[in-house]
Amino acid sequence: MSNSSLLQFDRASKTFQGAKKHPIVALQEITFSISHGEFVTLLGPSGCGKSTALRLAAGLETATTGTVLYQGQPIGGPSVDRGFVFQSYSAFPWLTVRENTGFGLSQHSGDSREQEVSHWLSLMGLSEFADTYPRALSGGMRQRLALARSMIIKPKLLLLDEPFGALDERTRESMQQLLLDVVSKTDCTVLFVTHDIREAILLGDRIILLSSRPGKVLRDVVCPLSKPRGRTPEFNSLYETILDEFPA
Amino acid sequence: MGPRLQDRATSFAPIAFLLLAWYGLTRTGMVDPVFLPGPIQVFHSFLSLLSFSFFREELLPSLTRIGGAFLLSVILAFPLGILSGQIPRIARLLFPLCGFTRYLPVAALVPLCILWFGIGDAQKIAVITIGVVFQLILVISADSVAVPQELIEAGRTFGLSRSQVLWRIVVPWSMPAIWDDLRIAAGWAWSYLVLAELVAGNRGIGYFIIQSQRYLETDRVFAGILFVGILGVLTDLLFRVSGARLFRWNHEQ
Repeated sequence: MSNSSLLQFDRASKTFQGAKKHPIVALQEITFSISHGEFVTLLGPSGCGKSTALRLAAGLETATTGTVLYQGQPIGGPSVDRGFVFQSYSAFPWLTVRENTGFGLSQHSGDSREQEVSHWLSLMGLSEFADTYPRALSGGMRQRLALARSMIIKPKLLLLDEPFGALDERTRESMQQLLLDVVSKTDCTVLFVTHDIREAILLGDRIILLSSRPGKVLRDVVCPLSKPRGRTPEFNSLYETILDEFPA
Repeated sequence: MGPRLQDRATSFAPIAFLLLAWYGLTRTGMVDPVFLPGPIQVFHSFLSLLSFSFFREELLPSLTRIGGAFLLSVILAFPLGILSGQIPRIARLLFPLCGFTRYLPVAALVPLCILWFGIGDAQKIAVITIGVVFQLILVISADSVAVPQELIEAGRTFGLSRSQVLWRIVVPWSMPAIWDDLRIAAGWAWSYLVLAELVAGNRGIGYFIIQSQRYLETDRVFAGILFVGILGVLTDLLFRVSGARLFRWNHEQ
């Protein structure tokens, strides 16, 4: 395995204990690796275990068999190196938008922290809501907040679990654009989970397609399209190709 | 304005009816005032309680006891409740004990408390604490266990340790619900205080009530009960108002 890989799944499986001790195999012998600076989308049907794979990468779950390595080391638990954006709204409701954004910076001292928070608030278009509580925010705003909160601590790897799944079409498109902009300004590596083929093509420089449960890697394609990716004929033909293989 | 006025009238109607019935019954002379004094007489007795000596002799001891016992209960129940909500092993350790103890009638424990703690403040504090603390552990635990998993996980992805997760995620998230539980627990504490003061007293509002009964000053018995009721309502109000201010994030909009 190459030294440049940041994250590496090696025949990683995850089995959950279901009802009545009936085991549920969520992931079966997943093998793939991600290099520094890549933007990878992990695509698959609902319930295929793609979120589980992401949680293994975050250290929120551990593999039942096989290994998941981060920078060549087995992942023992969550770390500030690996940011995570949840599908559901995960802002801390008792903190203002400003306090939420700076949450991960709490060890840092005063001035530089203030500046960094203001910078990210304006980058995410949240400045005017800085002193309100998250409950006053729309769904799109909440996910901007989640993104700001994760990006501000400069993770080496950003893990996103269908972050725009609950948003309306228009908001989702602007969020996808925002994510691409923000990531392009850093050297952050991204693993983005989605069940939406268009989203996977639009965002990913590489698309890993998983089968239905138990999830196995069906295909690992490099997206040949240059950014920004519009609805070109090339886009549509890649879409058709992946749709043909997308598990029912 | 119209419908709201009507709503208020509806809420007030049963109280007004009771007062009127009470007044009517005592006015006819059918009932001996020793058993049931009239509302006006009770009101006069109540006013006579609002004196410095009553506050110093009866109210202050009661407030000290309930305040001390309530504080003790919270100091014990808060950490145990938070921990048992988040750490299954601690829940297993505490729940059977709490589950059993909370069904013991506190009144049945009063004789033991007198035996062990005498008839002073310690006995009152013991009765209230025993009555409150076990239930409080269980309800605080239920608040702590309800913290959304993704908030805890979000905290962990920011590198928080287990104890930091408790302090920075679980506690702030549960506080509004815990505050509400404390408000309800304060109601229990008032009942247990009066119970403890009724059976073994030297001073205190409960003692005042039982002394008045011994001298057949029934109007003062009623006035004492009324006083406890008003204190209970005030405690409740205090928790509501402070809760709404402290946890604006939970109450706004």
